[in-house]
Amino acid sequence: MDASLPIRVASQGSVPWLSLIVLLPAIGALLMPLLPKEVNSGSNLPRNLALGILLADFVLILGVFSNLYIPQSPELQLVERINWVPFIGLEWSLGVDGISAPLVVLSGLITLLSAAASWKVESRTRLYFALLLLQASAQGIVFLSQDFLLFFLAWELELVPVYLLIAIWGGNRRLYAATKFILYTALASLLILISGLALALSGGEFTLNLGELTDRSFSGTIGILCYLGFLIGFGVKLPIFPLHTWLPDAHGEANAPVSMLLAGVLLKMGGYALLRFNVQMLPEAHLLLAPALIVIGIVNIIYGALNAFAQDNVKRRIACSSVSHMGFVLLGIGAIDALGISGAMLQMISHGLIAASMFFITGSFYERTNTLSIPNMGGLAKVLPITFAFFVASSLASLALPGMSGFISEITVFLGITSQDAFTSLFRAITIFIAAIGLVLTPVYLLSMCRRVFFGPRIPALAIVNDINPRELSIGLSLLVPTLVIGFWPRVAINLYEASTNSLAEALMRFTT
Amino acid sequence: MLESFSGPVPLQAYLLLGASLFCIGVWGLINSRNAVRVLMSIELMLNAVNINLMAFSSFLDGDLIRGQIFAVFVITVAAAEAAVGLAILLSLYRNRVTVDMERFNLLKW
Amino acid sequence: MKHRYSHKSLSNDALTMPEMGAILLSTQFMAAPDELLSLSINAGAVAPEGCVLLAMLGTLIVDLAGEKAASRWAPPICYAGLGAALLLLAIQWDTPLEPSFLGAFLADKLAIAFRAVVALSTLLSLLISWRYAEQSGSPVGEYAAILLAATLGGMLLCGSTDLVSVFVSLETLSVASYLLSGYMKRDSRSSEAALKYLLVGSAAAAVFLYGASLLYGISSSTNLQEIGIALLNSPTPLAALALVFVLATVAFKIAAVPFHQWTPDVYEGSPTPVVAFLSVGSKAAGFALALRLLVGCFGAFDEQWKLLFTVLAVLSMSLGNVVALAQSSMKRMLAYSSIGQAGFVMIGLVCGTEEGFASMVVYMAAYLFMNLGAFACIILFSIRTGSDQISDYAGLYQKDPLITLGLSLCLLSLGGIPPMIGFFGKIYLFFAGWADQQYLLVIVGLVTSVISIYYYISVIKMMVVKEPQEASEVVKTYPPIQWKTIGLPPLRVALISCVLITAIGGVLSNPLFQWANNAVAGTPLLQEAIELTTQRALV
Repeated sequence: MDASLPIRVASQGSVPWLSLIVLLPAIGALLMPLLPKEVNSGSNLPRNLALGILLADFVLILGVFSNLYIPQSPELQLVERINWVPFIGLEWSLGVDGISAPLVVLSGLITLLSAAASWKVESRTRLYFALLLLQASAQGIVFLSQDFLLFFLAWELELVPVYLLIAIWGGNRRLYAATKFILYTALASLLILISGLALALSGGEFTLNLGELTDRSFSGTIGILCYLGFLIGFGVKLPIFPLHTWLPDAHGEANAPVSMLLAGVLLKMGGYALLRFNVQMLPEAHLLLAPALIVIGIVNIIYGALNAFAQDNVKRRIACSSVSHMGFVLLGIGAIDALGISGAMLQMISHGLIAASMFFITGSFYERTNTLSIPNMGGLAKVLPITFAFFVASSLASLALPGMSGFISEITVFLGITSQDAFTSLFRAITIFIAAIGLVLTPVYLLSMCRRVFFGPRIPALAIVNDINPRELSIGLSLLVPTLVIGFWPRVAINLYEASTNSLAEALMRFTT
Repeated sequence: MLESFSGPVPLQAYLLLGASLFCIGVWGLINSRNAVRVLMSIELMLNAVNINLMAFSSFLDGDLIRGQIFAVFVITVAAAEAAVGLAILLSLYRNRVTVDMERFNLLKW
Repeated sequence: MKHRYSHKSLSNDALTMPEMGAILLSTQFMAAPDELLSLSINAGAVAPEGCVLLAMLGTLIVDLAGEKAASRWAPPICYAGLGAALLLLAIQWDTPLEPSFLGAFLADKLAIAFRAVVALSTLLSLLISWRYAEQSGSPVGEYAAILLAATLGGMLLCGSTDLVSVFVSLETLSVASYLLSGYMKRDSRSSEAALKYLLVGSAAAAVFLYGASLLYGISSSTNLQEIGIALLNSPTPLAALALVFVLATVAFKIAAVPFHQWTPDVYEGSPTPVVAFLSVGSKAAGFALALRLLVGCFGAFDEQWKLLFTVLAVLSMSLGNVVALAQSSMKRMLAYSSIGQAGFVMIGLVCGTEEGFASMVVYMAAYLFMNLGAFACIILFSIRTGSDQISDYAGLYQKDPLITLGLSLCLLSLGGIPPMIGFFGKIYLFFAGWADQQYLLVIVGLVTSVISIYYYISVIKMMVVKEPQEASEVVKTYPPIQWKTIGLPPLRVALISCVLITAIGGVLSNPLFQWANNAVAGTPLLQEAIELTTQRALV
């Protein structure tokens, strides 16, 4: 809180790469209003600018992470620290480690693709792409921030863009969905702020730096209370049962690119924050509450799957399957060993890709059929063979077919739980058994959806539609190919984060003995 | 205790007078329907304060008479306030042709 | 209780005085008349007020020359006066502290900061007023003169350290405000608002005076510092009664629940630029008064008034923000929201720590820009359409992007969404509150700011989300935008600068924080209170 501290840059290189990565989209967003006003809503300029910036950003992310980032080291890398508003402990403090690196790459990819998928957005394109870029910046800061307040600022910052993206370009019940989203998220962030404040002000000098907070130990009631606050706060984003009810609405009502973003990036923010705060910062409380996390995870898996059966809307069904899949992330985090946490990380990456591709394909046939209601569809396979192939492929990925990334991640989570000796064998057995039921339910609701949408009698109203075009094909492929690559060669992804998750698990182990 | 300030009238008597005047003012403020009467009630409250100030000044403040100076200020400001109040009332009367407080209900009170 | 606090000029026998001494003044505080005369007047401290006074007189004089001359010359005179006042305030910042007018006025840094907020709010309110006043057909010169008189009162109030000067400046501010809110003579709603404001305001002033007379009786002094010392020596029940009276008036001035009833009516009926001034300038002066009276004078009743203010703050935040949800008029919604905002500021007041006071100053400064920015937008909208209804904003995005963007940013800032300036101010308040263990206040504040996000964003939803075919009738017949009309260019300047500061000021807010902390560190009154608070915490 010393005001006289001079501004210092502790970056390893002279170029603040991470700041560049997170600020580039925001600069693009600020450029948007300067573009000429769309005269008859056909201008491609905003989209091209957004695409260019996001592509440059993604290339930058890949370049920086492949050249400057050392995945073998669990340390925080490329650290940048600049005093911003020292009176409230706000620091522009960025850094990357194994937990954030893969998610930054993922979010860069998904944002780029969702901008590319926004072909059908024709009204208010400048606003749309400005919000998308702003969101890209905010999520980048969330993943890279090493200062609690900066993290919180970015967490709140993405509230309004997502609200408007849902509320303006969404479906019929978009206002309801958007309002529900913002209320849930705002209430959740309240708990996050209180918990963070309590941590910052307890146990020594006031600090908001995540590293310094991690070095302290918060034992007893305060640790547990803050853990619960964080769990509920981040659980809304993840989402965990019973805080998930905003998700089917938001995902169902948003247009396809925004759904991609929601499922591919926003949910991961919840998982990332759980790892960063609950596991890394509050290990003692985490060890105490890990079984509860596993129970919640199982409820998530089963509840999400059962809920998916009840949905007549394709997107809502996929949204419920997201709830189910994020349950595995909780299971992995709750397993408190290196395998489990690694599985959780991989599940986040894999679900980000798969859910985005499912929402993307759904959006692409929605553009053609103008309906998402399962009973109103049928016989699409003959008209849209490539779409069908894509949809089935992503469904298979989603139900964890061997050879796809989902399989590797879910199996790792299972292994993590079975190899954890801290739990009784009965607990482990029951957990695996129930989670396996969830695993069986997934193909049932996904494949039955495929059958009802793509086979059966052809609905005459849907007669004349064109199949997928090359642009959509390439977007779909850029999501599915990584899924396959990770499925066959998981080291690609695991190498990025393994050092960090291992050291995280080691830190946890230190507290068990 | 205050008997030590021997005089024809003790301090408490003045304070009592002030307090009762003030209460009458508050009562009038709450109960009057006529806006002019409300203004008069406020004047009454201000005068109660003046009595207090004068009493304190002469009993306690010796040569400095700060209370009396204060009272002069109160009188001056009260006059300004009354003038502005009546002016506003007049303009309202021109618009609404009434000074009945309960008819002033254009705004949800 | 009595012995916790000792003052340099206090000798020990003052503490052992019999109960009688509660009403009596110990002779050592009674300065002899010749001693008083030897004190310098130090009139330089009120030079900024002098500038405002000169500008007011100048405006009145040009007003005599007819309406044309007034609308030609009044604006530059006002700008010059307020600009000079702000400049002098900046120069005063580093001058050594010396009481003026025999201890009736003290230009400490706290006073300078709050006077700057008041003067700046007047300047911005004036910039957004000209077109509004012109359009309603009221004489511009008089309007400016009365507004300047209110400013004069508000600025003096920020630095008053004597009951008499507090009372006189308070009434200058109040009487001018009554006139301002009744300024639309032909509009019966305006007159009605003015009458209600006047009656409630004068009653509050009378209550304050009664409390002041009791304080005078207890301490035989009208100087706040001397009264404070006398109260520390003998905190009698009578003094507690005086505290209640005085506190009621302070709460009235800052519109804290349950002393808020006048606010929505007055805000709805009064001309909008006046509401802009009342909600910022008048409120800032009210907070300065609260600091002077409660912190500077009622140190003996520290726990009591903090408890009362905790209750007031909780009520203000919850009621203000919850009732704002149900409003259909933009002005009324902002009125309730300003009640809630005052509740947030009170968190800092209750803390009584260095950060608490600094966060008050920061939030007041932030509130100045975001609230006036919002008012500039709704004034521009009502100039163009004549409407204040929230539903009439539907679909405005299509017709007027500037108002939409400006109003959206200001409302988001009021709701505390980053990276707007309001977020930083609010975070600072909450941090200060949490550090001082005011958990209830911080939690209520956080919950109510989520509620406030809901109604602020529903206005944004109205403007941005609605499709062109869902636009309101008013927006469908929206006049073409032109800025050439007399009075609109200054409005645009005010609007754009407020919105810019709201949007970018947050990111670059470090100087503001620094300034606020300097202000608190350079104010002996606050430093003493902070010392007292820390001492209590240690005990």
